[in-house]
Amino acid sequence: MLDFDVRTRESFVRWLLTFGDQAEVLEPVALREQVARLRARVAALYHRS
Amino acid sequence: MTDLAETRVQRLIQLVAWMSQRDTDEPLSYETAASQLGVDERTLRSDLGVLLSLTEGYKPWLASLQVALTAEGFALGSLGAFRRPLRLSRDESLALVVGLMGVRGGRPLAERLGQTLGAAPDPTEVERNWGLGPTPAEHVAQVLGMARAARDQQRKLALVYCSSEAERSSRVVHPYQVVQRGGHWYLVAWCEQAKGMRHFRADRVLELETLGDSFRLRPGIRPVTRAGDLLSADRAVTVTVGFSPRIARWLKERYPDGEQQPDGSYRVRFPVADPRWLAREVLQYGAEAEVLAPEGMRTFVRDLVG
Repeated sequence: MLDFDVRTRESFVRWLLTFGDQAEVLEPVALREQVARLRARVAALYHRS
Repeated sequence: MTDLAETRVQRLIQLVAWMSQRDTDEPLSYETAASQLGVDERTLRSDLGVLLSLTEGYKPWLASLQVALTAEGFALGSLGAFRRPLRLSRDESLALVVGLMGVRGGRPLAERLGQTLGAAPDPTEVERNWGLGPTPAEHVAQVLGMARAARDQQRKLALVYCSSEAERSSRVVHPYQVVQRGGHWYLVAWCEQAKGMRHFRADRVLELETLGDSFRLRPGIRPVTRAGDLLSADRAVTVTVGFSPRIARWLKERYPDGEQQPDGSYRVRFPVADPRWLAREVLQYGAEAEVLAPEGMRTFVRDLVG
């Protein structure tokens, strides 16, 4: 478990995404939700035919 | 007993040489020095007195001699012929050459070092066989150690390997190189099953055994010297990635060989040996990048975020 001081949320969220399903934001909830939204957007790219 | 001049000169030379070749300039006690040199303390003090008198007044042939007496002992050294020469072991020379090869403009310096130091390895040999990289994990270090030994002894290796597509295979290989590129260690070898050169990522070698059989080096094998050689040596998959118009401009700078699309997006084809590398590369751009083909790679990325 690691604590980060995040200044640019968007960059951090994209960076976190590169770990795939091996990393998860535990808190704050707002950032957790932001990661989930980005995951959903990326996943949607691959679910369309 | 009479102290012959010849005996004294020999003793003085021994004293200066021994003191000059110590790795420290710290003063030494008379007792320790006398014991080390096998003389009594009185003789040592007398010899130092001679040396001190020699340093009185400038003498070009003695300019490098420095003698100082302290409360508990003495310091003595010579910057001349007695000084400890620069002697590097092969491993120390190798470390220097590897370090120089890793920096821009370091190769000419490495070549000069090789000419200056007899023990220094040839830069071309270093380029083929050595590299700076992350400290390998225990399993990888073991694989690399066995691979290097087999390479040096030209012994065949039997390995069980897990490919990037998670396929398990058993092979007999002839090791040629151990190289590090892009943070991973590889064994570059002739594969008897594939009848060609292949590279094997050390962390994907599941089992390894050195066989009793030896092998002959094949003529005309070009050593791997660039990361691109590793990709071309493997069954690399070509993956097409589309980048959105929003980031197309930056990606064009990073990957100038891509294709601009009519809708403003930008397409790049990557030779990919490791799907995880490709996934990280794509996911760092969030929803602004998408693997377009092949379908297997799309599934791989989808499973990571799904």
